[in-house]
Amino acid sequence: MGKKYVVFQIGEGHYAIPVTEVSQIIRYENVTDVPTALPFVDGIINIGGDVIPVVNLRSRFSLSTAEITRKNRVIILRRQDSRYGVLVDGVREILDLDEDSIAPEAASVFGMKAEFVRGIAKIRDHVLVLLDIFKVLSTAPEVPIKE
Amino acid sequence: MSFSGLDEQKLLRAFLEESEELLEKLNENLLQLERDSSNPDSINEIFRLTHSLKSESALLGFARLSELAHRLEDVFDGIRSGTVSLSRPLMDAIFSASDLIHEIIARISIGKNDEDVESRSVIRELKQLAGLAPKIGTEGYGAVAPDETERADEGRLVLGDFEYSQIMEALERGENIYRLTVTVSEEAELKYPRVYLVFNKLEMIANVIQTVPNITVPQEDQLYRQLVVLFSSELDKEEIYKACSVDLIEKLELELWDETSIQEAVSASRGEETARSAASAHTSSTSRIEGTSIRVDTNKLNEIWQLVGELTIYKAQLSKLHDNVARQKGNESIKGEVERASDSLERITTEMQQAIMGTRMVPIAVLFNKFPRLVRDLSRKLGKKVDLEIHGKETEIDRTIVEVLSDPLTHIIRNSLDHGLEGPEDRRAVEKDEVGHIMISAHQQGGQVVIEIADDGRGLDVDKIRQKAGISREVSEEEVVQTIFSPGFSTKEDVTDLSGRGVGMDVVATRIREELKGEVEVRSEPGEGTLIRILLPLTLTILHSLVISCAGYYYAIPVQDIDETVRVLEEEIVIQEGSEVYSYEGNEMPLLRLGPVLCGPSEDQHNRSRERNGVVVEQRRGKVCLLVDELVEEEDLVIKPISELLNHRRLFSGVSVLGDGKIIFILDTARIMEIIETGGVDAI
Repeated sequence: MGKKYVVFQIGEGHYAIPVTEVSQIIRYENVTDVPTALPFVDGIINIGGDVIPVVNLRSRFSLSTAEITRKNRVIILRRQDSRYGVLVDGVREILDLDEDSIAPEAASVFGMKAEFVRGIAKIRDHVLVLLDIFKVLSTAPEVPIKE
Repeated sequence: MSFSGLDEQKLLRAFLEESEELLEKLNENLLQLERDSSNPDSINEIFRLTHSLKSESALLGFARLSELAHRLEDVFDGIRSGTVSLSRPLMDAIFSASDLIHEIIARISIGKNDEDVESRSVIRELKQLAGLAPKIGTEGYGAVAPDETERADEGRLVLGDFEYSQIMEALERGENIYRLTVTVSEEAELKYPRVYLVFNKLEMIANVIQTVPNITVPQEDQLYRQLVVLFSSELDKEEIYKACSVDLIEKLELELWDETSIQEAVSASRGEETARSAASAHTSSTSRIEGTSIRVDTNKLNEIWQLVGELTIYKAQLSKLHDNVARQKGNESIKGEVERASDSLERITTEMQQAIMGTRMVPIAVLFNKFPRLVRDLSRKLGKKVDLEIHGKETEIDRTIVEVLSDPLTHIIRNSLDHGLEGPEDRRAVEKDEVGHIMISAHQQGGQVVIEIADDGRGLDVDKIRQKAGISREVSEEEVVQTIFSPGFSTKEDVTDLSGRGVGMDVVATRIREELKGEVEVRSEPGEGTLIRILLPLTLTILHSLVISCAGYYYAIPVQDIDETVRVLEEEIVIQEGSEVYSYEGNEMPLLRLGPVLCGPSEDQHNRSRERNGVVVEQRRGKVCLLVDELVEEEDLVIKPISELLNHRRLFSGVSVLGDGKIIFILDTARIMEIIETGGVDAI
């Protein structure tokens, strides 16, 4: 038995993060705009009295922004005492992945910033990028995911 | 023989929590004893404390710790009975033993064990100085052994209604009722752990109704020579014997109770309870009252706090709903009911919030009680004579503040001793009492706690400070001395291991100001002494704030930072050296338009009305006027930490959610002052 991953889509790309990092998945609703936030922060949502920033992964990866549709989801992540939201184009599935099927050295395939990538896995007909999502959320200036 | 994993964890946690309190009491009583070496109360208390430390650490398998506590116990047993006299060197050895105990417990608390701690030399010294011949086998408990009347009571079960109903329920389930008597051999050390093991094993296979003595509240080890357990189980006698066999238990007697013996025991208990309550009327005045508090994990309190916060939000939503209902026609009786329900909910929520707030508060004694020992050790090291006075220990303050405050306060006291107070000769030379004085006090004043540390030492050297910081003669002495709190300042010429190490008052001030949102100031009189005053908020979680709006968003400014709110006229804003200045009634102060800072340069354009709202914020650095759109209301805000992603310019100190779900950012006024000083909005 491998680890469970949440697979989501941004643009044409498929990405995965471990289920253990995810606290819940919600629709994109009631996001309040924050003028002082970084450009890739869409705003904040209030979950149970906690103010949680929502990061737009499209902007974070310097992709063109898209209209919000009913497929969009906000994945709420938890690390220690903090929670973060990430806006994705859609959540595809929850997947079991064996360690063996993950190739760490393949990171350069996508021409993506290596520190964001934990590894690459090939699932059926597409390539899955395993993200180090908390590195992606760090406040360093945005780095183009593709060159 | 080992406890199940979970049990051990639980026991360990309980042990660490208890030992914290125990060590504090031990310390307190040792200091008391040092002042008055014939005080029987301290001697007895220390004996009791070392004794329970010995038993509890043995139960968890910390042999070194248990032995150390045991030797201390021996010494105090000797002192009690008059066979050991308390000399100065012995007192020092006792203090080192107590330090070692502290150290071992600190190790245990970070998950290490006590095995590689070197305790032999400390123990040898203790024994030699106390003149105690090494004891073999027996323990000197003479005086603690229960007297005859207590013995007669041993093992008698007292069955109240609760126990009776448990018995009846067990019988209905078809279980048997047993009475088990466990006897530990008289010579066995550590009786409590042994009977506890039996109890622990029994609990796995049976439903324990009562134990005598009560096993869950550890008492004197000697009381556990015999343990009587009443329990129900579906197993038969043989299976039970097998299940609870433990080494070094002298005797296990198991007795199956039938209906008649149950009835007899119950009625006997009823008669006895009446007799007991009559007897307790005159004994209660002498018995020790341990207080009615329990220990609660801070995380659990935070969780409750969180939930109450949520409740407040829904309460507000409900009252809004009620307002809507009230506006509609008809349904008069329902409207009345909704109103009453909504009002009650509001009252209860408010009270609940206050009650939970109260649980976060602890007396500042938890912090102050460390200082007598600190002052004792330091003054001996420095060869100074010091008398420490502490006032206002009962003053309550938020637990999280106490945690952060510990280091800065310790540092201030070290400084007073090291630099402030003179040695005995120097003091005699200036005709002062050769004993120096340090006074630590706390009291509540408005919404703040004031802590003062005063000494009657030599005071600060104003000239030296002036010279070092390069301050001109025109600046008053009162202002000059405040520079000891400026970053990078230290007047110390030679570095001692006491308050050297490069950590000066500037670090103290930064922690108090930034982490605790407090203030610190100093007053000094050459030759007379130094007074350091710290002002702290009662709590960091609720902040009385003024909510303002700016370009359509809401922000809050802590009321404690606000000097006044003003109406700013266009002609009162003047430009000086490229910056805007608010000038009124002869006052001048920097002016900052919040809109452009918070929402970008274009945000002030559409608000060119002739009269604007201004909030004058006052900080140590001076005053500044912030231009805002609207003053909304004053409100007690529950402050939560803000994510770095929302605060990369560090403009805010926290965030809060209002009753109606509105999100409010709390402005960090100190940071805003900094922005103005370092070149304005463009710099951030």
